[in-house]
Amino acid sequence: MNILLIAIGGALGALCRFLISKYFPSSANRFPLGTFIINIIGSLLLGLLLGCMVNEKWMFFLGTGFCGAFTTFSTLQWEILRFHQERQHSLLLLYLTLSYTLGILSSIMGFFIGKFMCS
Amino acid sequence: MVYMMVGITGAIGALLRYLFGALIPSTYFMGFPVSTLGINLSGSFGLSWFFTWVTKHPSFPDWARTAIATGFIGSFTTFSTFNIELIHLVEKNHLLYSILYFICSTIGGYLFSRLGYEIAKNKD
Repeated sequence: MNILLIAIGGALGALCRFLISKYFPSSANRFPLGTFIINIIGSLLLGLLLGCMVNEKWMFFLGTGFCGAFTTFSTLQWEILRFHQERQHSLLLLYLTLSYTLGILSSIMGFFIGKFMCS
Repeated sequence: MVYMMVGITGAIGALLRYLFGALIPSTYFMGFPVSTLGINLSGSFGLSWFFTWVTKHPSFPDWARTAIATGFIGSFTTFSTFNIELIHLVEKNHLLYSILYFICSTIGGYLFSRLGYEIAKNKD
């Protein structure tokens, strides 16, 4: 049952990421808005789920499945590597800094919103 | 077709990530989130290896490229769990571990994706 929840959540997460990234095609000389939005929203949502203290089933479905699959670390690293190779150092620095700081901040924010909403 | 494949491979990536975490007796080895780190580093290696390999094999079908890269590897690696674990470490006063985890993930992620690229580029 848990395995099924993770699989369905994972499939939905991957599909949502695919759809968003199609709207924001990646290129070596532009800010990767697609991956960025995906990672920030997904981090916010996972924080929200934890703040809400949803039960195990929802956590498997939306947490491990959806949020885990929706957000991506490998694409972020690939885009950073591409920026480095193309000598787009200001884009690289901007992308790196914004992703990591806003990623953590959005998780913290999600957690407190969840706590506030669900208490 | 491509939507179905991304859905299926995305599910497989998420399941594998879950199994990876479940197989390691404690997801936090001595207070350190080793499974997510292993997943993210191996996935970063895999994705840049694959993207570089695929540019040398233009006949490789587009849908399969999307299924493997966006579906499988994209779902396998995760950014949201990384952030939560980082906050969790700070919360538990493991400040040193949180800094170490951040450095291993960011610099490690770069090095592993660089390694994947170099290996795929130099192999004929």
